[in-house]
Amino acid sequence: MLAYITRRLVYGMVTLLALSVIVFSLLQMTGGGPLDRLKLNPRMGPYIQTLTELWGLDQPAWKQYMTWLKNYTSIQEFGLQNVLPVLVTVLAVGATVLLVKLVKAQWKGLALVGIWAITLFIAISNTTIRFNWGTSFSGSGDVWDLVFSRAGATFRLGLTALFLALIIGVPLGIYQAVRQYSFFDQLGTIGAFMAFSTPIFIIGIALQILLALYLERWTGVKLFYVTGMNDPGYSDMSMIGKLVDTLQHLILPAVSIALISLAGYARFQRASMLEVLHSDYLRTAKAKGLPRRKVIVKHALRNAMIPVVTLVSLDIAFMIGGAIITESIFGWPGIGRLYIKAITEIDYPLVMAIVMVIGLGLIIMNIVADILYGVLDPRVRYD
Amino acid sequence: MGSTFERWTLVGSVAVVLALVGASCSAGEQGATTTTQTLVPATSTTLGDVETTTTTEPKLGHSYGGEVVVADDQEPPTLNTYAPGGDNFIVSIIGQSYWAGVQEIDGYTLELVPELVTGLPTVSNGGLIVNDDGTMTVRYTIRDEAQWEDETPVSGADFQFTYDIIMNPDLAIDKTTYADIVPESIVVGPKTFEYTMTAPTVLHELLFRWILPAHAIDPATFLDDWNEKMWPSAGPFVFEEWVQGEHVRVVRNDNYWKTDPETGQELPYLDSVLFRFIPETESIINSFKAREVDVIQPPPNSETINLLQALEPEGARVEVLSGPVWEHLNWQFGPRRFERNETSCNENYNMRKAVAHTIDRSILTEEVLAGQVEPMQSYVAAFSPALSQDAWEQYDPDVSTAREAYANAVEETGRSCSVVFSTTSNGDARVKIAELFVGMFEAVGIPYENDLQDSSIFFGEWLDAGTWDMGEWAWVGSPGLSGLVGIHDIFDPEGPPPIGSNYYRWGTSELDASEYEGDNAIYAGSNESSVKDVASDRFAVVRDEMNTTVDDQELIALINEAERILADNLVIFPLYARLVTAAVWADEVGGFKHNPTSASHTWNMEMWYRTDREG
Repeated sequence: MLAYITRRLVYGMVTLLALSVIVFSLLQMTGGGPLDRLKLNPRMGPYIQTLTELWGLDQPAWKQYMTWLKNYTSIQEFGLQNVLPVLVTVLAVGATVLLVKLVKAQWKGLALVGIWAITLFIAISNTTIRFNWGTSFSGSGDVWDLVFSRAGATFRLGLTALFLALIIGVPLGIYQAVRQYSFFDQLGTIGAFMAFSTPIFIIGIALQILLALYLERWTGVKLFYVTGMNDPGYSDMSMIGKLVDTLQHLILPAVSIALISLAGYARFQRASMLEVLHSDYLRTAKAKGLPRRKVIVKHALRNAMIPVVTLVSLDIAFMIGGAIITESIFGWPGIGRLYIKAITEIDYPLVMAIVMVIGLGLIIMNIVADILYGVLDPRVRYD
Repeated sequence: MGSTFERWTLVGSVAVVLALVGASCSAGEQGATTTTQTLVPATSTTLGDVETTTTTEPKLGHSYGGEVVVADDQEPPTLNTYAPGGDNFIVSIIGQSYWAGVQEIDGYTLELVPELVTGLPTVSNGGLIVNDDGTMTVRYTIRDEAQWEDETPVSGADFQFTYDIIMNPDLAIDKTTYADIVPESIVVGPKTFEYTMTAPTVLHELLFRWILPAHAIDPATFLDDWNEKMWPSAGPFVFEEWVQGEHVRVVRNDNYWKTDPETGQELPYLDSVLFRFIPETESIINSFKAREVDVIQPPPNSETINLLQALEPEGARVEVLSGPVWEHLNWQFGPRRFERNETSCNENYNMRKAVAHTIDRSILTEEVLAGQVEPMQSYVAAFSPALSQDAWEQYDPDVSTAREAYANAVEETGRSCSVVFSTTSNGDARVKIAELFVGMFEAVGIPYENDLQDSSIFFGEWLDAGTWDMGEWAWVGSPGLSGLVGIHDIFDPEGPPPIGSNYYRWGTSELDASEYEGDNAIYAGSNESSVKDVASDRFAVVRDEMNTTVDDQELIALINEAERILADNLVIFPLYARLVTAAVWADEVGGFKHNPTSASHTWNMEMWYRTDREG
């Protein structure tokens, strides 16, 4: 298992390196540059020259890439705030050794991921670390700060949407499969296709108009806000006020993302469940006289979850990159919005940083998904 | 169990649909009764059986307090105007609240007016002195009452400090024009500042737009950390916070030194102004409709304007004005245009004339700007409408004149002349124009083709290389004579890329490519203009004179002549000025007056007040 994870991590690093080369090349090939907007001012020549030299834009592309890579991987600042990072790392190593020897193969991977995720969280929370990701070409400041100042908002939105999609989508799919061709199944299928086929910006705008604009006009009560993550007076609110305000701002963007993911999960879960429900081993379970609930929950669901796990793990990674369109529509201050801004302004350091964060997220979530397969399906081995 | 659940689901769905239908009906009724608020307070008095209603005079003066929320689709990259990215428009929109400088733009006259100084320097008031040695001295007298938020008076030392910061070689700040100041010539007084420039130039107007407080800034960290605190304000508001991705809030400067000229009240009226960043236009409009924001400056397309104007009965006010951004048609006179169009005849005046008479600009403004403005008859109007001679009025749309000119062009060049039109493909307006051109050229019989390109390539590559035939893009006008003088640099026959911005290559000569490297060598080797004549020679002289003339009347005469040369020779063909729109909930916010220039709609935010607090 450890060897497998290590191997996947190494492959992941190579993939990231390849990704960085491709994206950097694409940025160079697209034409134009970050200083183009200044060119249309006839008197900006000397200033453009100053910035060109300052940012190394006068260097050949390969040199610019190497400089970026060197900076990107170099730690600018590092320090431990206390001994906790060391302590949890030692504990995690010990736990890993024990797990490898004691725990049943199928749970080992998940336990390891869990332990190291918690370890990393504690370690990072108690460490001052900062990579030299450079300065934004648009003048927005340090790229590391920019990306991580937006990460919280993106996680808040993404995880809420994921939570909504999972708690509704998966049971919906199961129920549809169990009641195949019923009225509810047909309704669910129609709903899923509608959600799937509607562009997210239409869903977002429609939710704004219906639930934030007209609902207030109809009821006279402001239940949801059109845009923003919090009220500008948020810091002065009481705890309850803060919670209500957060929900009032969060629900619409989260629902607009969740609707599409939810439809996907429901469809996948339904198809997968139907396949499992018609399998021989389940017929055997039924024939043995097991209760229906037990047949579905214990025997069918576990196998039927495998395709959904892939979908969910990829979704999480994309959410790290931010629900780009949703964030723009709802004025949500997340990474996705920053990404659009960076691309528009041809801000190389920022675009590269965000792409690499998304890439890293995808790689990690793929590894997590592979490990979860082993948990859900004992036949999967990591040799 | 399943069937019971399904039954309830069905019942529930029907109930929801019915509720929505019911709600829609009641909303329609509610929407039909719009209440109009009056700004004039009325009092009712009952005297026995007779009820009389007397209308009291509006109270002179305005209430203090409250907040106004301004929405914008851009978030500033920085709040430091001198840092890279500080030239973004949104930085200026927010900066109006805490910056102050030599001058500001009056939103009513669209002229430059003094801000921190008692008067703008001119030859006649002695603020500008052309010296015998060919230099020019500029003298400012600072207002006695001008002070920073901490009550430190604005002084000549602040001007000196600003100059030193800008000219600091370690700081990547635009030093254009400041470099023409002779450092040794600077004379600093408590309320005066004087400097000498190497040559007379009206570009002194561009200097000292934002003054820095010498007592509060460490030059070593000047470009680093101002986004979290901002330097002391000399404007009506003080920076309070910037929540990245969400908003910037500014709060009242209790020590602001201006008063309302009409009421004599101290300014500003508001407690705070909140700038919210909402990237999507639809969302900005929805936020406005939901009254989550009070002031917006949406894109000026006809659909948006109509949508906002429909809110006027509810209390909104929409202001649509001609802005400073002017679109123009142009021709490439350099040799690389043939890469785009082998049968380009741009060098031939009759060909350009044929194009000018082919294009019906009123159709363009009708289709693109919903007929809100007239076609532009001169680029000068984008800078100073009063100075415009409308020199392009001579090229009215006329199919027969266009045909005749085209026939002459074909005969004179011996080529089957055609047009390949290029512009950016990103914006709806330009794409629409390209589509409209197809029909217009077809009607005249001029072979025509569209070749649009993404803006990053069009501006990033084609412009420098001169690889287009007939193009369209925009320049930005600015009030004051300096803007008008500056814009003529783009036609400078001695300034093709890579040394200048004459992308059209009108009247230019080949640069020695061996003196340049990389792309610059390519650009330098593609500058030999096909039009170098008496007109371009004369223009070069006029432009040179303009750059060293500071007397207003002499300068205006030169500007008039330059306009005539460019129009009579059809070097460019102005199309229209883009609209600038603003909308405000006038039943909640008073004192708002839109400003289409770079001063933006926040130019007089110290005068804004909450009308819902009045009375």
